[in-house]
Amino acid sequence: MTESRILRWMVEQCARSLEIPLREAVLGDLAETRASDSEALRQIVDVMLRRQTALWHCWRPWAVLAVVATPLAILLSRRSSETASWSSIYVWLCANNLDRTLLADKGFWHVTLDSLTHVAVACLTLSVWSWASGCLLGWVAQRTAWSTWALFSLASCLSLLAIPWNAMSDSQAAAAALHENAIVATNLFYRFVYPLLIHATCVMAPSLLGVMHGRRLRWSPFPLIEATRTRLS
Amino acid sequence: MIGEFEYLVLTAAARLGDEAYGASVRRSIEEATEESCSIGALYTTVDRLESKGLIRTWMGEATSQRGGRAKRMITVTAKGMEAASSFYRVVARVTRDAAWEAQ
Repeated sequence: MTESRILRWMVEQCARSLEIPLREAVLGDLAETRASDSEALRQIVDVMLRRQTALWHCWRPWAVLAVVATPLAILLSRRSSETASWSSIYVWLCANNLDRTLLADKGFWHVTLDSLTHVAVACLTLSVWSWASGCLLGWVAQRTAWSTWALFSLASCLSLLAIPWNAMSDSQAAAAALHENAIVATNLFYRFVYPLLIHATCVMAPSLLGVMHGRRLRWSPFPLIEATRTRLS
Repeated sequence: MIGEFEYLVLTAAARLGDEAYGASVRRSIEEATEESCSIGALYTTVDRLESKGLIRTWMGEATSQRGGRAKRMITVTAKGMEAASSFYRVVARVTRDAAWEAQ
């Protein structure tokens, strides 16, 4: 029962990405043929994928990907990596060093509150930038917004994964920084999992929400930008 | 020249006449080919045929059988009839004298 409800909810969500006439026709056809929930989901995902693939047969989505999505993905993954890098020290200090003596220390609480506020503000700033980037992607790409977001996420993840390996051989400063915080930098969780968590929560999730918002935007303060967007989408 | 799946859609739509819409065309193709036809493949082809001017589509009435959703009705245009007939002539010509029995 719950599984069926989840499948139906997924069908509804996927169908929302289709244009209204197509959505009506497809959902009507599925109702008429009495397709099971899993079959309906399979069919609607197939429609979505074919639809998105067909839209990539012209140059416009590629231009949006090259000029808007990829640079934003690289910039945001850089920022996300930096945030994860310095905040991991604070998080490690708080999470991996707790004991009764520290918990009873007022100074510890003062420093913890101060550093966690710092981390929260940085994460919030990154999330706002990601949301705004998603909004721009959704607004510019419109019909190809979902596939553009998927490629944006892929580019940002690849860029993020490339950074730790670069940092190992990059510069002496990076090597020194790694050495100073070696206990954190060599910890697998803080080196790989934590940056991915920061990236997922502060870049991918907000940018996805931004895309959903951007697709609904129909307003522009600048006629020239609006004209360019209309040509691209 | 049109592709074979485009020909199937055009022929099914022409045969169904006023009753040609997404689900009925799909059913007709599945019965003829005895293979499943995905909704995605059907509507992608319908869009392509419409952009080529070979068919015309519009939203029809909603029925309770369809959960209150409208049908996407399909009509083959004169250009579509010509394209399908031309495809059929080519297939008939190329098939003439061809033996399909195993040698």
